[in-house]
Amino acid sequence: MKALTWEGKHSIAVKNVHEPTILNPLDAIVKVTTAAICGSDLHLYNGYIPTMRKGDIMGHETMGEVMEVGSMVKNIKVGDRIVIPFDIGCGHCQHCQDEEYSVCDNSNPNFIIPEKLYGHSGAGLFGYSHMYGGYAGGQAEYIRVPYVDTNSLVIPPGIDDEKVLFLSDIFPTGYMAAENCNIKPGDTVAIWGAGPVGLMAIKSAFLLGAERVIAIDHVPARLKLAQDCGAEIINYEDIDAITDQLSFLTGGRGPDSCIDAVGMEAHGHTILNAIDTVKQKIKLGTDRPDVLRRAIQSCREGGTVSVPGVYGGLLDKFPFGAAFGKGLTMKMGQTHTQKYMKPLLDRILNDDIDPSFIISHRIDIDKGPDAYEGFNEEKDEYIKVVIKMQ
Amino acid sequence: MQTEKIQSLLSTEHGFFNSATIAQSPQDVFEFCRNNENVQKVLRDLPLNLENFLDLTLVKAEETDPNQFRIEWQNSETSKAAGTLYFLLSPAPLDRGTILIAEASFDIFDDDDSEPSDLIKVFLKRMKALAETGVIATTTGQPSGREEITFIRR
Repeated sequence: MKALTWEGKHSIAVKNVHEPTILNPLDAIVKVTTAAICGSDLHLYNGYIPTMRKGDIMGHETMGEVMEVGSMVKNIKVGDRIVIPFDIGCGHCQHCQDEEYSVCDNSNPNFIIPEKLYGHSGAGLFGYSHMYGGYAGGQAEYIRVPYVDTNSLVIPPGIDDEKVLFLSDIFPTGYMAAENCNIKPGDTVAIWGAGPVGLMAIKSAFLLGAERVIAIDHVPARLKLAQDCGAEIINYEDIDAITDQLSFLTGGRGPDSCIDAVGMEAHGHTILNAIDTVKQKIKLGTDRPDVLRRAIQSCREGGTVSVPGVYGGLLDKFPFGAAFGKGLTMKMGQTHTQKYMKPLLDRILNDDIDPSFIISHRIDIDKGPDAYEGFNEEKDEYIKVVIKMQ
Repeated sequence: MQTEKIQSLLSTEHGFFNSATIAQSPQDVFEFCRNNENVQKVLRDLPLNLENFLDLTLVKAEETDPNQFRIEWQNSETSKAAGTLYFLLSPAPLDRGTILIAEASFDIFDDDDSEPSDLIKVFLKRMKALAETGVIATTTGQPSGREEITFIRR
């Protein structure tokens, strides 16, 4: 089968590799119909996530048709059309029972690596480094899905792939980010990053009752989409101080909650971000957390900072004193995707939202390497790339 | 179980031990841990090729206090390494299942080596996974570009 593989920093290849097989009786094999490239795939592309190995199959936003199931699979059958969440839950451990699937105890066979780095390990993830299990990803013609009864959402017939594919990650991620803000009537939510997750967070914040959403980015096409979603927009390159601007726009209070939908590769013209950039390039730093700094600084007293953006290591010049002094609540982490897939599918079926509005490119898998390069370099043109399998 | 009591039950001076919480009742975990097939499954594919060194025999499986259990596996005299594997089981708080402590003491382990303490963590994690889900997560045998059939395009 064809698959997109990680060959090193800034190097993605199309390779012909073996098709997956059932390795455990709770597995299924799925023929991929549609996959997508995620903004967090660019962290791998740019070499910022450790423990990738040359030849790893990329991708964690995937859907397709079930071709084979293991002997212990109960709920999923051959022929089912499923969306596959990016995080892998076993469905049985205490965390999965509590719907905290992204911190499943049992799905990461390489748990010892993150345990040494973080104290405890999160769940295994598709196509996202050996630290997260080393699972082959879904930017391929076939994928093995472990614990498929837990890691699947069956899609009813007649619904286009593009309408439901983003239930695999970015829609639940944006929704959980907004839900973590504990939005109350009248609230203003500021969202850094108007990429796919940020756009989903805008839509979700309104679905959850936000009065105003303010989107912050510097890419005109993304800001235009944010505006189309109902957000007020700020191009941070047009202003001197984002915190002052947000304070002004909210009557001196600051946003009730702030969402960092950017993560470890923040852009911007602050001195601290310049330092972060240099440190990251020479491997003296792991993350560029400038958006997180701005979010903490800008949030009102007693507000909430929600972090769906991916971070990997140790954050420098982190304004914890500001967070403490203002009594902020901080919520973060990989999305418990399985918890949100069904209710958000219902939102889609109810025509509350059609997430496909973010798609900018539809490609076949052979164009994958070009798409990675374009997505990384031309953010004004590339919003979301969808890979249509033949 | 109180810390002092756990310490008193750990039996060897040089054993490596750790604990895990399994989302099942102590009685169920007791039945699981005394089953040789389960222990062998967990040992399979572990680093150090442990399955080649260990030929375990169940020598003790008892309820020491209400809902608290102790299991002792010993390597047979004909095996390549002498030693013992102990399990201590006690209820976890509220409805969180069972705390399983495993202690391993085998003369293939070097006291100064950190690998056995990682090994006991991996062993427990695999015990937990097998008990809770019936399988142990793996990626061995999955496809990758490292075993490509043909290179198409970069």
